[in-house]
Amino acid sequence: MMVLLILVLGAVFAPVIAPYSPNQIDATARLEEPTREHLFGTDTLGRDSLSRIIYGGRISLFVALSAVVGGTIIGVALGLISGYGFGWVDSVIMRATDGMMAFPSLILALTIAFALGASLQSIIIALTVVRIPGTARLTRGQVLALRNQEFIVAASAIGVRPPRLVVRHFLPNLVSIVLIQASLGAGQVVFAEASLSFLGLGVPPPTPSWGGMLRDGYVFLEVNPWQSIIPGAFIFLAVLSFNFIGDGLRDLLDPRQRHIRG
Amino acid sequence: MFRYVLRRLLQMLPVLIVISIATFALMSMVVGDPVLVILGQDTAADQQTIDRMREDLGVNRPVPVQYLDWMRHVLSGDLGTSWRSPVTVTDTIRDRLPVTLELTFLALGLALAISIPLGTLAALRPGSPVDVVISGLASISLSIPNFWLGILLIFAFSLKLGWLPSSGYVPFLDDPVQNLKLMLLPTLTLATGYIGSQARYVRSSMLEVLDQDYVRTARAKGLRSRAVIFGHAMKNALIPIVTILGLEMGGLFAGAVVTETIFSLPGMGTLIIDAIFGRDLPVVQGVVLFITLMVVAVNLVTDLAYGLLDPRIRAMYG
Repeated sequence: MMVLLILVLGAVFAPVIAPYSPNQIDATARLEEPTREHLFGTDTLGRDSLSRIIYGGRISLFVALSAVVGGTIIGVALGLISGYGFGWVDSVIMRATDGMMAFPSLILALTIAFALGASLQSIIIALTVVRIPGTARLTRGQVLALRNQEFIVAASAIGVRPPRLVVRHFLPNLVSIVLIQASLGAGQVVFAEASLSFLGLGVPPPTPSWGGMLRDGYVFLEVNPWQSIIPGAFIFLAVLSFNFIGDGLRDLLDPRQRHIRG
Repeated sequence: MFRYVLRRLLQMLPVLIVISIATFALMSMVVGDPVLVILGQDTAADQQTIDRMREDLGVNRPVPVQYLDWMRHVLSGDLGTSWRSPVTVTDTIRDRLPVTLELTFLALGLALAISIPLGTLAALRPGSPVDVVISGLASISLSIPNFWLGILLIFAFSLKLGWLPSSGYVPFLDDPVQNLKLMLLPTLTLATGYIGSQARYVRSSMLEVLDQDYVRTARAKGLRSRAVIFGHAMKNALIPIVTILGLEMGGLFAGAVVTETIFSLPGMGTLIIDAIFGRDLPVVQGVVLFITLMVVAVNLVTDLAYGLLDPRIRAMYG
């Protein structure tokens, strides 16, 4: 939690705390080991790695936030429509999610990023799309479970109209499970964004990203391992903290899991 | 059982249609004229040649027609020919597949061999220090980016210690020892995340089973703890794991893409990445379709296995 807070603060105040500009090239200081001037060393072009890590965190967290928020909103909306509307609407949405879920998510993201061309936007779109089917199915499952509960039946019996029913009665009961899903999802998105950047299909250079830094650093593993070790460590920490928060939320909000987890 | 199999097969049909449309649609969205991609932007070819190539490739026809034509070929096992070399996509996949299969199976085997005992151990004493350590390690192993782990392994075992080669591939039949040496680090890289997630599933599945009446009965009639765990609990706890394995197959293939890239293994993963950078559409399309179909097939098989293992499922469908 603390780790994440530091990463978020670092990302928000990047221009203030970064000691150098992330793209400032210093040809006299290439591939340096960590020193007092450059705490994390420098990369092949002599750019300060600490500054690039801080700015890279901005990209990673921004992508994670956008994709998770976007994926959650669209997924929940589809799930509500699907769970609430019987018949062919439900069938169409469910078969579509079945099909999308059959694609391994990284392969789907790769393909979408490839089809749209490498840019920040296409990464966000790719990772949002990947989030949609899981969220939609989860929401639909919850709605189906809820719709036969007495308070819902009672509410519709006294004439509560569907829009109000959804907003006032369904959504509050969905919040906790969607929140758990979203925070575990944020970890996956950070991971996926880093994978795409590592494979060279992420945010195009010179924009710093953790996965991209790892990709650049990895070529010079023998000369300067720091340039591979440090960005990877940040990806690891970010994913780990999102996962911890997700697990913590689940223990807190989902009483059914409690006895299983002992 | 027959009705169960039939039902599952029918359920797959719409999924397959969605997959084929999605794969095709994504590829048709790729910006740019295929002919210019093949010849290069500043080609010297005259308009006539370009038109003829369009004709040959069939890209001058309406998209739905192209889709149906593509499907007709796919159904007869023809995924087209690469734009970059005269090899057919099917042949390329046949060349590359063994590498990826070896990698995923080794990783899966390793993950199961480690996660089942660890998960069981953790479930036997929930809340104990052993459980806390195992669950903590599982969380960590789940969050380690596989590409980072791969790089760290290369750094430690290839560069610093010089024990293992960092890249390359030799077919198992040519030189088994060298093959396994080369596959060791990639296998570790790919398996780590799965050790964590499987250990968690085994643990929670085990905890649930240990709470059941039949386990209590077994204990009550005086069976030794060992017999209860291995004879009664384990068998039932591992049934759900079969399904989860099937579901994780997709992730495993995706992990293989990254792992193969780090260790330069000539598998399906490096194939799709190279094809993407070469904008080699038929190859990307073919590989995506093939991998997805494999995932669907694996899921079908695990579902059927589930039906075989668990009489309760079979009973549901009569």
